[in-house]
Amino acid sequence: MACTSFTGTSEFGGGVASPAQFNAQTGQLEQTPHNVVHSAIGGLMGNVLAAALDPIFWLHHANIDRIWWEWEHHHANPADPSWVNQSFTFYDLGCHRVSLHSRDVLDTERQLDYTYDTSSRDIDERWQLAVGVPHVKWPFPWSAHPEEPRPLPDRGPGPQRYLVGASEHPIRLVGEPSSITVPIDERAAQAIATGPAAAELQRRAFIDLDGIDAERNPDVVYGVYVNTSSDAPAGELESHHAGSLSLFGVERARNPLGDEPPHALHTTLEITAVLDRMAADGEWEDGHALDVLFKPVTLEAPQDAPELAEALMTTDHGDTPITIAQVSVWLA
Amino acid sequence: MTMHGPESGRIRSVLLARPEITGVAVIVLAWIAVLGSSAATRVAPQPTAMPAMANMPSMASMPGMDMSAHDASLSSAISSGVLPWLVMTVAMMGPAALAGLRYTGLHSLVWRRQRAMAEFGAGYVVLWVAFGTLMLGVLDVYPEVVSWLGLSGLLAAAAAWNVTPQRRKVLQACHRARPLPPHGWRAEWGAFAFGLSQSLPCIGTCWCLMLAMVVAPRDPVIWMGVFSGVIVCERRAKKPERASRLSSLVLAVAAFGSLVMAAL
Repeated sequence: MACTSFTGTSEFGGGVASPAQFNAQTGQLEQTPHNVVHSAIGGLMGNVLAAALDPIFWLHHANIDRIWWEWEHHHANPADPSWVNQSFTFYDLGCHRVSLHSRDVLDTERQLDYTYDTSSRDIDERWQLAVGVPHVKWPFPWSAHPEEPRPLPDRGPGPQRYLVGASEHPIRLVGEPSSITVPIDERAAQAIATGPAAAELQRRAFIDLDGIDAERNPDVVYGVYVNTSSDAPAGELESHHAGSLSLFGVERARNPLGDEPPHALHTTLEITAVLDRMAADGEWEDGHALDVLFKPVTLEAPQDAPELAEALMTTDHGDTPITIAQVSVWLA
Repeated sequence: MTMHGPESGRIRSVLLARPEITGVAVIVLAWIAVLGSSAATRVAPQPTAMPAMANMPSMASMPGMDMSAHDASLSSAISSGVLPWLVMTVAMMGPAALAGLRYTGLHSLVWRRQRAMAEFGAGYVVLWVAFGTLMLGVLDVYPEVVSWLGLSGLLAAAAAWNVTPQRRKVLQACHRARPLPPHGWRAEWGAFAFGLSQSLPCIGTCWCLMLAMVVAPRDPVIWMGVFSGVIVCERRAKKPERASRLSSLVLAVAAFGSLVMAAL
């Protein structure tokens, strides 16, 4: 909800890509909560080819639609004709093929005759919380512009990003907490901070997870944290939380339909707010490297659902290893 | 020469956002060299030990080249054909490699971008040069293939190859990317290896067209332009399968036209 723009891999809706694809253009809504919930529930929901067979799929996707509906109250959808006029083919209740364009489904109330039972005051309060903390001094070798973030119209493919560091080796996740160190190249960071593009920098930072691959979705969601340890208290983990990693769609990515080539998954996580908090707390003063921690998310059952708690305890999810070819840090 | 002032800042800013621009400049220079030597060849045809290169823009006519000592040995014949082949490869296949070049630039640390892109370019062309050397050697042994009939046959083969599922898989591989190491010898090799990995499927999709261009008995530069356009359209199409079918149709028509020329 904190994303102020729709288009871009680090933005709300994702980057420009072909329809019905699982490639490197995943947006924030698709990654969290869409992909994360699919993987966290697992089973049929964890497999892109079978997820719609689970009744909860429909509730989950209705929630995704609701989140988009809320986001639209304060932000603009793309005006790009290729997005507005993109068509999708479905089957209706009579098993007839029906084609709809994006422009046909943007106004739920007037075009589709439904709305969500949420007051506008609740939306405003939650949006304000989601915008994020003000920017403070960065741990990078340039001074910050302490400007308040403000809503922006959709500007196309997202901000221009520059690589400042990348891991040298892949990391393998096998259901246990694992971390990798990403060295920050000071020469690159300095060149960006003082070079011709400095005036256009938005003071945003990202982590890219590239070459994410596994034989199948292990139905494990990993929380991604920056510069903390797996046994840190919950409050510290929360303040260092960059995002989540889900492998929903990996089966389709390995064996895609149409003209999409087989590929690994890619995820972009914005860490601007995390670095701001770290800087405000006086952490990471040298700025030489980032430690990126991957920790499996454990689900907790409600106290009045003992059978669910037992099911969660007996489910073995971590047997399928995940390989991440590279973790990199980008500035924009 | 060092540039100063707002103009140089804007240029550097554009280069940061569009690192592939240097590649575009190299491609443009290659086309200028090809077109210039083609014009010079029309005015004063140059002798060559390789019949397959007889109608190609030769290095001798390219600006700044002096190849007055003509040696009929195979090695010198190949070497006198390889350099023009390299220039033509850059001109024709360069546009198809721009996406990989841009990827390499954007995914490299900013201070080594140009070097990384040069390494990518070297990896990309080295396999094409090897392919060209082999092809030119074979055509030197079978010079009779350089004819309208030979061209027709290769265009027909290209049209048929375009619609096979095997070629479609190879074309998909042209869009694959890989994470690039950030530092040290791994970074240097990584960019070069990425260029190699991009050129292999490129050769797999376009080998027939490149062969057809070399055996074209007349106006190879025109064929270069046509084939280059086909390759770029196919590579950039939102629906590559449809683009392949369309290009197959174009090549089939060209094959028929060449057959008619052979019969006349």
